[in-house]
Amino acid sequence: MAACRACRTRRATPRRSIHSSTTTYHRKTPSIAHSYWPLYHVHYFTNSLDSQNTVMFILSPHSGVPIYRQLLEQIRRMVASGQLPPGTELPSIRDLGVKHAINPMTISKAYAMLEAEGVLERRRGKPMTVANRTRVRSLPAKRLQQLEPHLDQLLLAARQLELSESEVVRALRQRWEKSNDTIHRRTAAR
Amino acid sequence: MKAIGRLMLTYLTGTPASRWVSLTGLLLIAAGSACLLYLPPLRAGIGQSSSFSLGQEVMLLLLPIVGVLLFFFGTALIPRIVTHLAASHIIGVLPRGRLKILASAFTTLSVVTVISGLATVVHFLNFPVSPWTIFIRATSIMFFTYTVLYIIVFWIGKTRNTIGVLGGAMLAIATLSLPVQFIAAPTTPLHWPVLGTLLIWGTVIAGSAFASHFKIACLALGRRATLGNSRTQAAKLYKPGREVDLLIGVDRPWVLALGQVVPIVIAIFFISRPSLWLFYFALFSSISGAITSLAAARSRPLWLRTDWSRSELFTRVEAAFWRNNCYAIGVLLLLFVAIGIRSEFDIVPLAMGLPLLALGTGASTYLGLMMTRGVGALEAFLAITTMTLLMGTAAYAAEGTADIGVVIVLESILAIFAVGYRHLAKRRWSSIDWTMCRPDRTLRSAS
Amino acid sequence: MTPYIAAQRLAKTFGRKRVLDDVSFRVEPGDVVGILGKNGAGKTTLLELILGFTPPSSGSVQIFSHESFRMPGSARRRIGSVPQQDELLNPLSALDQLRVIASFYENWDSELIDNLSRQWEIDLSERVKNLSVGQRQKLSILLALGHRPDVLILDEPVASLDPIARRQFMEQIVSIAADGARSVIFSSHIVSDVERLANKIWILKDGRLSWQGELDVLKESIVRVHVRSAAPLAPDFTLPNALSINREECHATAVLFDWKPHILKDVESQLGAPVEIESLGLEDIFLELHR
Repeated sequence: MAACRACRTRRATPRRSIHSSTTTYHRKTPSIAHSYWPLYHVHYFTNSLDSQNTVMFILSPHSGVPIYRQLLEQIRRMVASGQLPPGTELPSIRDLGVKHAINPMTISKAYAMLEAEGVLERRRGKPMTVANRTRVRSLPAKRLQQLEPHLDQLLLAARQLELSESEVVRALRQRWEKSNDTIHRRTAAR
Repeated sequence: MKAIGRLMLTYLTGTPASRWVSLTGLLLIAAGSACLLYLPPLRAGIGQSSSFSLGQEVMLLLLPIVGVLLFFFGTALIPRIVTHLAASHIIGVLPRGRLKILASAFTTLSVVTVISGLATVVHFLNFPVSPWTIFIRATSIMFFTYTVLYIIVFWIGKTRNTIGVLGGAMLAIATLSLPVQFIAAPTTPLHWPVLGTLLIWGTVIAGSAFASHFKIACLALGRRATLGNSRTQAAKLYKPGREVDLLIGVDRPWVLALGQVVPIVIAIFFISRPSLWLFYFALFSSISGAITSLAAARSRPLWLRTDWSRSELFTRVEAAFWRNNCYAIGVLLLLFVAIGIRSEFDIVPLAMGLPLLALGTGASTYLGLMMTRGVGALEAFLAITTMTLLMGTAAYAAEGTADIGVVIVLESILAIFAVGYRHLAKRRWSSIDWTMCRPDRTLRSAS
Repeated sequence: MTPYIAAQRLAKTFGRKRVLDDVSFRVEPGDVVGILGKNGAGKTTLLELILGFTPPSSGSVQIFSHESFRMPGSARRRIGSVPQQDELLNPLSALDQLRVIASFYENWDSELIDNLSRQWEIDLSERVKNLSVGQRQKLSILLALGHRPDVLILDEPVASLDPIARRQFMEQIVSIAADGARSVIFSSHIVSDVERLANKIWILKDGRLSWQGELDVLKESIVRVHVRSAAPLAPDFTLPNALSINREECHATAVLFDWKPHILKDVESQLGAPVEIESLGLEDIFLELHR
């Protein structure tokens, strides 16, 4: 059960799947059903979860990085880290598009590329699902290559803030341990 | 004072068109009056010997008349500007704004009337009536006529189309024929036009003085009405099955049909000669053209929604406009017959007048339908030619000495024009370019 | 798949003014095309040419494989259009306005329109002339959606809408695009909306398509580079494919188009200085292309 943050109405989830909404505010319309519209994008950090253990995609349509690439990388990371275990159903292209108000072709491009990579698979009559084969993880070198742009960004920020290598490494280690705890909690709750 | 003066200047020179028209009008009045004052007297019109031929005399006499007309049309912006300013919030900001606006309109009108009066005096210089009497009669009747004309021009100007203005000009010319009758017959009583003037201006002044109260009352009434009635009110407008007519704006044919009745009934008091009546009626028959000229611009949404080709669209729009205009022409013909019988016209004007009016409607409707690229040189030329032919035939047919053969020939020419215009309209519509027939913006910029 | 709309070397001249020149494109089913351009760049004219309102001065444009200017009625009924100036009938009520237009189509989806008019909060009993500008625009959009057109053409459809209404509109467009068989072309000033909705972008500049193609490709091919070198830079310092370059003592900023990853290595090795790559959002790209 998830509670609307504004008015505390509870709603039952229709099925166990990943919701990609960010903060949802509930809005009363003259019609009978209440509809949930994501009105604002709020950046959430991955250790911020609601009681439903849903993970949120963070998509910024206005950044220089194309949306399909953002989605691509986020899904890859989530699958690699175990946040999206095999068999998890991803939201349909239409649902994801409407919720974020982004072009569905861009989403379908990301899904198609992930399907080609073997990360996702399409089962008959079901939406895109995380493939079982991703148990076999790609080589560490390849995965590290994906991390490089983020490492460069970290390096740049650290240099601008004039932090030393040991300080940065220490901070990184702290966060790493904290997120380890979160993952353990999550896998225990399942 | 400065505000009033500036407003008056705007009325006369607000748009480049009005500037030129006013100036030309003034020049023609001056030139014409000078001619009449300093040239040898024109007597050919009354059968005496003269230094000029009949044609030349007509030209000379027409100069100041045309000048007066043009000068009037130079000020035709007044109703639009006045209503626009009165409705805007500038009124609240300008000290005594409403008063100044009314004063400026009144003053301009007085100036135009006085100048027209003077021109009239010069025109009738050789008549055995004292100039002062002529001046008084002229200014009183003209003040009334101009006030009524402003209302007509404003109403027609709301169609936002140069053809609307042209049609209004024709109507205005017709209305202007009334004072000539009035002035030339010095025994007709003046109190009707004077009363009429006081009534109209009184309403305008009272309306502006109590405008705010009026508006609040209207809003209150309106709100009470809309709470219950807006749906039924609006529902009355929508008639299932008449969607095509709604889209092109011909869903209310009775407005035009009955709207003609009022000016015709008013004219009963002023017009008695058959030629003038036929002239007047012929003018009304051409109003349908003014309305039809909006057809092209209004048909675009219709074309987009249907699966008709452009040629099919033409056929249907033509049919829709005829359905609309036939009410008007029917009423017009009935009125013509009624007045003809009452005023005991001869058989020729009565019999020839009916087909003439029908042809007038036909030719002007198709002329309107031809306007698929706005009003260009060709269209204006054809319009003027057709109007001249129509009016000329009307004036000729009603004279006692008219040759019926000539009238038939003239009407046949008009019929050929009508058929020709239809052909041209049909051809143009088969490849109509919708970007060329947008609604006219000249009047919008003027106000 | 045959494209819904295709144009080859389209040009249009009004009098002496050349409004469009050498415009060619294809619109496939499922595309959402955003047209960006300054005022007067020719966006409305382009849309009018596609709709068949006016014939091209040279070149040609086809919609559903018919020449646009001569398209048959059957093609026209698969198109929905929202013009820049609304063509609503003022004396009618909003409901009647919908009914009038609905009467022209057998496949009018009244359920969809009912839902949307409720969701978008349009007062249907109100007279059209009393509606606010935003409501009029919403009504105009509804009139184009009811017959579920295969191609939807919108000219500045959200200029008068508040952010909530714009968002609702965008959700509807996404829903249409998700079908995969319907296309949308719209022109807008609001670059952020175009950035979300469009998968193809046409940038019109002085009547020519200064860029057209996929938005993703556009974003990936235009970058801003920041160069910081130890030694002062040469006065004629330049970078390949630079749209603009801003030079100071020891560092320079440039916007490059046609970016490829190997260029980074080349530049870095050439200068011996670190180079930072910044990718740009659509608004910045638009501004840079218009310098």
